[in-house]
Amino acid sequence: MHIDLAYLERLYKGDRSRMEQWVRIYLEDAPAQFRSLAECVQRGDDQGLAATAHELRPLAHYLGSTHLLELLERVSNEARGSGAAACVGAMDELIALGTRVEAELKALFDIP
Amino acid sequence: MIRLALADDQRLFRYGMAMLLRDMAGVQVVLECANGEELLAGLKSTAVDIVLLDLEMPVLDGTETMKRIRHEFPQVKVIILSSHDEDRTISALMALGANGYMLKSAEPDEIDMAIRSVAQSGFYLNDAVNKAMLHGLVKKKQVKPTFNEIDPLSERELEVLHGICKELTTAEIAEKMFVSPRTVEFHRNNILLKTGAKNAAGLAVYAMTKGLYTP
Repeated sequence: MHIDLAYLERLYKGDRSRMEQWVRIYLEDAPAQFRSLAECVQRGDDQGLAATAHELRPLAHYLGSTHLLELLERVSNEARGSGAAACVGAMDELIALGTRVEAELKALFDIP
Repeated sequence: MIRLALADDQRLFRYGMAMLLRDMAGVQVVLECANGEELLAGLKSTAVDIVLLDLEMPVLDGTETMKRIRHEFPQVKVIILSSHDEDRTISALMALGANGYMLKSAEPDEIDMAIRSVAQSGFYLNDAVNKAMLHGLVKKKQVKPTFNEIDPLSERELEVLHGICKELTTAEIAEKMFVSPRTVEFHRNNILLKTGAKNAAGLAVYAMTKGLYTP
């Protein structure tokens, strides 16, 4: 598993229907957010990539995904330090992980 | 009843936070906004006690919004909710008049405590804010902390101290050091005893003044 929903459980006091509502919004919004990161890389938008990756960190925290958090930090730092072009490898990993996280969430909440 | 406004451009975070706040006793979310301009417009027509304010937002960001709130709505209290944990950012926002600063990864209990503390006493100071403010004062040489003269810290204690300075949690430090959280707590208590510091902020100041850690 790439996620641990313990924080989300604490946040909503174990109310599974509220957790599911949040997860459904995540599933609606997350693809666009990941696309936005990829577009920043394509445009060579170093600042935009760093800022977007940084802003996504709380969501990784909500999902209890340490690996996602680490990758977002890596992308953010590499974009600032070496530019967006240097983040291609980390971005590929990030997109793949994002897809796995989505699949796990769908399975957990029985969302088609 | 504490009337809250929530300003964050990220729908998912705003939604998650609003759902949490709706469950809190004596708290009511009266305004939800996606940027600073929407918030300022809303404050003109809606009575709000406390704003939970994100920093990075389009149209009007949190820092500019903070300045305008202090100027146009001085009675409104502001808690910054951000993913930025750098001391300079925290210090700058507190200097602009924020009543508290919390990371978006804060535990639900801390969010509850911060809101009630700001409503009752006007401020909420957590370890991150204390440390940032102390860093600022030490850098400006406005305070010169004194600590116990101690036995040198062991290598493991230094590792724990570095982790604390980087604001890692006990669990995170334990993971990095390949030891249990209980062992980290043991080292942390030893460092507190050796240095005479009272909390994580004191340890961070100790580490910096002794040249053991550079932010």
